[in-house]
Amino acid sequence: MKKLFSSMAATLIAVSSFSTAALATDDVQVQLDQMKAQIAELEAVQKKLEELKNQVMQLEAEQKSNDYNALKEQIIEVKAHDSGDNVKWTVDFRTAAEYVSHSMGSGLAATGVYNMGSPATGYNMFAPAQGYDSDNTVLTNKLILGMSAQPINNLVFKGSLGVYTVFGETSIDQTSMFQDFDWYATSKPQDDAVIRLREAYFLYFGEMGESLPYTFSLGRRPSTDGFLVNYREDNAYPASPIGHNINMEFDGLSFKLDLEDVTDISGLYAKLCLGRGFSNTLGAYSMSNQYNFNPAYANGSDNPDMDLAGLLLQLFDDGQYKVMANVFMAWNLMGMGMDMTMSNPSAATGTYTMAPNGFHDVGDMTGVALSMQISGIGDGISDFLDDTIFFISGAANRTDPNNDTVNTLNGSTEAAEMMGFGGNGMLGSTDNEVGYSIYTGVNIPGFFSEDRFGFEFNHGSKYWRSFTYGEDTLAGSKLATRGNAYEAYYSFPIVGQYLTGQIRYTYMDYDYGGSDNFFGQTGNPDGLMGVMPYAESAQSIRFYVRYRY
Amino acid sequence: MKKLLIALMVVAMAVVFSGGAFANDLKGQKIIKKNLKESCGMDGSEIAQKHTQGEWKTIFEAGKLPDEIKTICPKSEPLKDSDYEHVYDFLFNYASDSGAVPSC
Repeated sequence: MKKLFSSMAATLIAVSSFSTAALATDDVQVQLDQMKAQIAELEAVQKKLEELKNQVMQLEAEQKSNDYNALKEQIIEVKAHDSGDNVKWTVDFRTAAEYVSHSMGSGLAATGVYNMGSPATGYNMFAPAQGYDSDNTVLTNKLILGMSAQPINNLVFKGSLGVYTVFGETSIDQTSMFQDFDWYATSKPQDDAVIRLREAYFLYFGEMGESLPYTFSLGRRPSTDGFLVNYREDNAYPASPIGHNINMEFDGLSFKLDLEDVTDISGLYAKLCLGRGFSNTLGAYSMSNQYNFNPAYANGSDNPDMDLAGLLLQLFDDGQYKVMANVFMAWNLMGMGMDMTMSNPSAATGTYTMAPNGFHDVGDMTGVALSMQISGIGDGISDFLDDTIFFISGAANRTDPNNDTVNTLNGSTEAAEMMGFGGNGMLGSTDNEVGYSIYTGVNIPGFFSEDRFGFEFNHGSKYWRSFTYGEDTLAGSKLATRGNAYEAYYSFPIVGQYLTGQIRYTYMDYDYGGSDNFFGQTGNPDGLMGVMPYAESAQSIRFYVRYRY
Repeated sequence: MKKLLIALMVVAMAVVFSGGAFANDLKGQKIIKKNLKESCGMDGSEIAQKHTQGEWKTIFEAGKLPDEIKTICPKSEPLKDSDYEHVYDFLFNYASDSGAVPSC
């Protein structure tokens, strides 16, 4: 534009000079006027352009303001919607069909006719119960709603709510007095569709000095589906340190020290766990007779608090090799007492009945486990071996019974003792007994990219006792088996990692009774009081479809 | 009931053939722990926090994940080609804006 003006001005000057110097004719004047008009026009155009430019700038400014306001409105909308939503949720929903089968041995019937004239060997003087086989298929729904929140970097809340229920109405509440037990509230299918608390705890992250990180946690902590057991449940991450000897829901605290930086041992940490498995309280409005209320939440007589202290150690973890250990002590473990009623103990024959009379403190127990996992056999030998997981674990326990009498005969503990029905001791023995177990397995790639096969074996000795009441095997905890247990499973994706399936077969061949039972006479390897029938073998076939996100 | 169980299993076995492949953040975590943690001086979650999910996605899709890992961990050795997909899955899931909440 400037060039145009310059050339026009030059032309104007030239023409003007010429006209001054030469003759001033009308034509020249006309041309001059025309040029002046053109210049005026151009100036008007330039003015118009300036106006347009200003308008564009104004529009741009308005647009920016509009964008900002729109974004601000959106943020306000999102914040208003999410205000107070301080928990992130996850869903783990599973529908399963599980076939369970048991082969029951023979023994003493719980009610019947006694005859003192029979040879006094075993339970001949009482009514015998014949062995029988049992099988059933149970359909279940299991929903775990996971929760997490992190208001600041070093404080976390974690929790989960669970519903594990059989299809439809059942008569479980009339047939099992141990069904709705706190130790497996969301780990065994219940007869109702009630949401129960599975986990709820806070976790504080701190650091001592510059290289000793620690965590402190309090609440209902994750202690099911732990290390090694997670594979059979197709859980990528173990929920707790060792699943071989502890797999049950648990309230308590933990304090973990990360020792990796100060020792230069990869993955080394120590975690102290304290918990309470039974609280001695009568609750509110309890009555010891029909006239008087007991003090609210006063303690009872036979059931002191049951406490557990454990030290968990991750001895090494470099991503391929992982070694973990635990050692624990449990106090005031519970055992079931029995009331035996005989129609006339002084008569040679008559009728008898037996019924449980509640839990009693039967003694203490110590336990230990050492577990090793290898994720990838060798290093780069083959993709198959790189993707293969092998593990082996050993565990042991030792009882320390108080030998209190827990049974009665016609209402008398003395009479029960005289007749040999005292129910004293732990696991059916008044001595300190030691049990042990080994557990091994392999988890290998399947036909496709993310399906997996698994094979597991475990063996338990005569007095082996695990705390695996939360193990998700309807036929009974396989890791509690006194004898041999075999298992094979196939886990596969259906819709990516979000919808998966599994089929699993578990077979338990019991050498002794009392597996997966409590700590007193019901844990007797020869059956309750040494005479009651117990399962000689059990098996389970489970198929499920599971949604996780 | 047994028939129902068998039928369900057959259906699932048929469906499994339609199952697509997916990366695995657990594998990624193990790979990082085994191959990068020591040379890098930080664990997997710390590496993941170096970028947002969008940034990790852009880096991975541009085929620049090996370079980025080398930048973050200069002393590290290159991973196997097949490992990067799993490592990316872990880094994405635990990125600085992932909202992942740590557990004990």
